Amino acid sequence: MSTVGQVIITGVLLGLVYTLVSLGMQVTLGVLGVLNLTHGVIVIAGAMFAWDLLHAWHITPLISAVIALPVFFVVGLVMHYVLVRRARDGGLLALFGAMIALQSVAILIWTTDSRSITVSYSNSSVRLGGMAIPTDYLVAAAAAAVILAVIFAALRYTMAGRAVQALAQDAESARILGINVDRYAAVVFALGIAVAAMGGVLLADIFPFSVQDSSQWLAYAFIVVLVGGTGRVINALAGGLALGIAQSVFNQVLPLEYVDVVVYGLLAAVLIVRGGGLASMKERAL
Amino acid sequence: MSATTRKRVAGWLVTVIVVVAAFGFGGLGQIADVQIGSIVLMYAAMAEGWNLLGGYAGYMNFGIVMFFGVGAYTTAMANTGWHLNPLLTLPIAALVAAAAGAVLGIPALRLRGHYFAIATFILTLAVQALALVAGFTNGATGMYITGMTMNPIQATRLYFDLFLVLTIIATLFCWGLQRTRWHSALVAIREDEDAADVLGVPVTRYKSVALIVGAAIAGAVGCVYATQLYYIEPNGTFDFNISLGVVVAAILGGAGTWYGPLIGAVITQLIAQELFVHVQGVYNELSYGALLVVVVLFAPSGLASLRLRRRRAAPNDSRAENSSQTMEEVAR
Repeated sequence: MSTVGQVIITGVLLGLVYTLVSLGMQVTLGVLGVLNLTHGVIVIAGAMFAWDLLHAWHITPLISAVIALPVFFVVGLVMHYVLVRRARDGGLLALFGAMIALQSVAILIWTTDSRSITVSYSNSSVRLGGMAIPTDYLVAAAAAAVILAVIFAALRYTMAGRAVQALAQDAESARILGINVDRYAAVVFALGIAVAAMGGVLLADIFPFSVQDSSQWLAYAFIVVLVGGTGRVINALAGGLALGIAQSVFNQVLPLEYVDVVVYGLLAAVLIVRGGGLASMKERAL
Repeated sequence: MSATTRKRVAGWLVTVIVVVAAFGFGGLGQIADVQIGSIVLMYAAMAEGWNLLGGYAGYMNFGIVMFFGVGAYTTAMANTGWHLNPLLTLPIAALVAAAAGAVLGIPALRLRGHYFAIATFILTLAVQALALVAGFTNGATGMYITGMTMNPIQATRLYFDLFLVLTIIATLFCWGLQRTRWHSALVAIREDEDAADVLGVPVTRYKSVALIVGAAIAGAVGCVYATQLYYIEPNGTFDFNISLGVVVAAILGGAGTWYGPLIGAVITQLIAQELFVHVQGVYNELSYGALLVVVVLFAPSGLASLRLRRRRAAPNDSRAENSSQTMEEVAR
């Protein structure tokens, strides 16, 4: 019984982190119709950012997550200005090229070594009625939950958040009603990048990471988008929790090397089942 | 002789000269150059195959390497299991790759635009992950291909010729396609799939066939690739960079034309091979990515279109005009 509980709780904690990691891509796709293929590289860049800060100035990842927000927001603004705004097809190919180029730049900066972050709470666990919950999972999930709650509230209760929702529903009407669509598009894209990087910082807390993992995180983010749909934060949460719990269960019942096959295989199944509905998902969103 | 006939004869003459020169190069050229030539042709053939769906119908398939890999593994398995000469398995490899195209591609084709692109990318990861753990692919250990007892120089020339033949077939396919209703239908799908559907174009069938034919070409290329290498393993055979090379070649040269992917493959692979000699692999990818960004932002229809654009200074979008014409044509 306690094993089942532990698997579920681990899955939920993982799911919260996955939600944060994927939220940027989900919002960018839902609001702007832009599929950010550089998402995975940005996630890894966030993780590397945390590693660098820890090793240069002993800044703990939780604070790095806060610092990452403005830094990667600027990165996102630049990317939007250079790549997305000018391209014709929503920037898919430009972002694809950027993904390849940024990946190589990341390898040049951080090499291909696998790294991990060890902090005071890394190897401990919290006992909870016979279950051992790793403390680093708890910390990362709590931080993810806080950031998600802030984003949720900002989208729902602020004027700017409502403007973003209007943009997602109908960009043309939003423009007529006096919303500066271009500026909001840049801000949404940049926030997507910043949140992805913050997700990366939290991931660094719990998993080892290397530059080559960026395509895995891109794939995971896409799985979350596919399963949960685009639009609300709740959608991302549903997708993230589903992925986290599924992975946690597979980790328990399958040999480790099969987990990837099953996760990607599930995605293929989702594609087949939901296929037709996906194209119209953006219109239904929000 | 009228002007058009003269032009046509000149076109055929140039084609024959190019083909003869290519075969001559394969037979007589420096062996190192022939080897680079094979790589160029390998990408050219796949870029033409990719072009059917990606260029004409506008579906960005980032998973062409799946079919390439399936072809390579089919050859390896037929070779180990039935002791067939690997090159004789080429039709089987093409068929199995086509079947893989049907099984993996048709469900994915229900997705549109960006969703299709990323789905093919993830399917590639799934197939690679499967090949890494499955028993029939021998997992990460890989498979050996035996039975080719030729001296290496002769073999290199033979593979060049095979890749050349595949490239010619694939190019002829695209060239011929542009003269049929299929072409109009695929372009109509690219411009507005819903409109094409409403007007009676059987969109699913056209898209599926375009994907399957492209997959078969990639499978045949994979067969020759495996034979040439004698040894394949999942990480190299399902390498996403192969998909990348194909897409960049087609886009850079000009997707949706029969000659664009050829031009693109020659340019990108010659650059890539030069870079491989002089710098590390990372810079190679870096320049690839940067090249793609520059082309997409400044010459979105590919390099092949730059010449046309200068000659035809009309500012209106000729593509859109064509599409309404072609759609009517298809609907008839």
